[in-house]
Amino acid sequence: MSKSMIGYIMSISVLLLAIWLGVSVGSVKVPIQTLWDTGADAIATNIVWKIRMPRVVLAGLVGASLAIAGAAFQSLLKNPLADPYTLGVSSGASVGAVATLFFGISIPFLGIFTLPVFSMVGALVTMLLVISFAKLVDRGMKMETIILTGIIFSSFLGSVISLMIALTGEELRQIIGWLLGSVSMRGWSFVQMALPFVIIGTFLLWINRRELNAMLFGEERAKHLGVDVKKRKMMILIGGSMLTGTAVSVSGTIGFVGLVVPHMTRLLFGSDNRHVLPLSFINGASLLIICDLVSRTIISPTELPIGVITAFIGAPVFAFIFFKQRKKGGV
Amino acid sequence: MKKRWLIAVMAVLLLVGCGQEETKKVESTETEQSASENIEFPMTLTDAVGEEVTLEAAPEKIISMIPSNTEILFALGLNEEIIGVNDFESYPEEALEKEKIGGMEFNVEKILSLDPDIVFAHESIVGMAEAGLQQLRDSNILVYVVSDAKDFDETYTTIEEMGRATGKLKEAQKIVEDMKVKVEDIQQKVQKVESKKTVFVETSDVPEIYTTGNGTFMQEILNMLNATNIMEDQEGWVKIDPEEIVSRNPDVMLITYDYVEGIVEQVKQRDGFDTVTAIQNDAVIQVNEDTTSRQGPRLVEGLEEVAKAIYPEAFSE
Repeated sequence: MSKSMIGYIMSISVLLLAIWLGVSVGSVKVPIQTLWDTGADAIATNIVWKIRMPRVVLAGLVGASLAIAGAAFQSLLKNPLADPYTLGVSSGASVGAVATLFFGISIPFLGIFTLPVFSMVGALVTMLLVISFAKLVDRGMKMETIILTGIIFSSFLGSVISLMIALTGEELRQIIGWLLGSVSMRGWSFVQMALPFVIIGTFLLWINRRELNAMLFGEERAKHLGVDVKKRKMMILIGGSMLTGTAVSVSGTIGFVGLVVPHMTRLLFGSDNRHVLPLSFINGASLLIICDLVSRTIISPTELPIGVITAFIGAPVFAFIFFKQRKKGGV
Repeated sequence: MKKRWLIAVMAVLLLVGCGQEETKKVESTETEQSASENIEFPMTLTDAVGEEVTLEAAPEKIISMIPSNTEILFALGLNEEIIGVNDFESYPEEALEKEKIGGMEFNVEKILSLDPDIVFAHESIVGMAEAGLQQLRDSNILVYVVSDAKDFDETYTTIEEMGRATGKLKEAQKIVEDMKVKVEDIQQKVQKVESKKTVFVETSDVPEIYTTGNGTFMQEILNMLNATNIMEDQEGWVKIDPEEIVSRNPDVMLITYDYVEGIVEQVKQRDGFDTVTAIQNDAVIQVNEDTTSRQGPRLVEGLEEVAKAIYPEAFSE
């Protein structure tokens, strides 16, 4: 069996396990049969179908989006430290979303999609600005240049958010609550809102999986290999921004997923983007479902912020794998 | 000096503890003289953090650092004497016109420039404000830290302490008496209800639903009203898993915030909440955050509002 085959089997098994645990474990223990058992307790059915399921699904979508976006950014920029957060793209998405809440923007034509669309626009604009600025500073776009540019933009955008929060007064708590990052109580409407964009964004990245492989050797080489670099790059940036923007707009800012998952995936199953992208997608979903599960059960019935868990689980796991691989002489 | 003061305190406590008829008797004997001693300046008081505060005369320029202090000071009739208040004042109306000295982080320079005779701080802010308070003390500003009341009885003590420090002890005792009468009346009404109701108190909206557990003023209010807080096994203010609310199924849901428009309707329409008794019985009620949490004279209003929200039947006549 090939390495990637094992990767898919393992990843999908973990995802199924995560979903099963995510649905059945909680402050109220519900057997999985409740999902299809019509004679089950009304309260349990209600909790599972209307509170827990959408939460699990949303966590999965957000995790998957952030992870695949991170994987794509890392390959595109040939930068192992790139992820929606380090690049400032998440901050851009947050500014878009907070501005929507702050100004009470609602475009009739977009309806419930106003927030994610603004968030995505914020993400894309930031991404483009970060890349152009980094290019301006250093044509070679070294790893440090991009990350430093990302930090500059993140700090600036962070201050814009703080400013908007300071000026809101009464709705302050609403915006802060949203910024903290959570998949709690979003319901099916948020799943509906996010799903189309997750599909489109993922599709945009997926059709560029081979081009991403080529670009790992540098844009010049990619050009020689027959890749329309400009067009492909734009597609990848739009796809990644779309995914980041969607994730941020439904769940606020949840860190670490976009960085840890693609690396873990590469370390475990190889760095061919044809497999890294889909495997990151699956593993990102599993990771966030498990993190959310932990955040709501570890000190139940009290909840922890999910970002605490993503960092708490993500960082040591990452360190462990990194260490093992180094020992083996890999990476 | 200190001993005499102690006797006075005990006498006052005795006075407060007695019924009305007895009060008269006590007043005529020992209290009369000690009460007059009480308002006699100079006096030395010990505040909540153990600092001795000596007042030469009744303060004429007072700064209140938190809204509950402000409410008490206004109730004592010190409208003219109050010269500085917190940024987040909401009651009484007059408080909004006073000079602002800052919010959570007060402006030391501003306070110094107002040259107050006394600053009323609060035990609850000492943790984060200690350095600032020390700066004030070092600049020879009298700082009196009001103790953080856990229940109504401690609030009564707080009101009297502040009354004593401002030479308004009689007024303070009157306020406390009035509060006690009203509390008694409300409690009598709710005692008549047949079945005890379960209550969920929500202090912030999704996605971060916070509630009040044990050790909060709301818990105290619910205890007084013969109602059960479904989250009383939790300590303090906690972020709660929404599933838990549904499964513990409260009879009444109290919403103590107003920063979300149409929140009551939103709560009723929350996904998965339709099996909750409170929602089925249309018992989701918004109550005033200030009157149910500020340790001042308006607590009785808060108590009554919560009582009516939980047991409307007891107040129907």
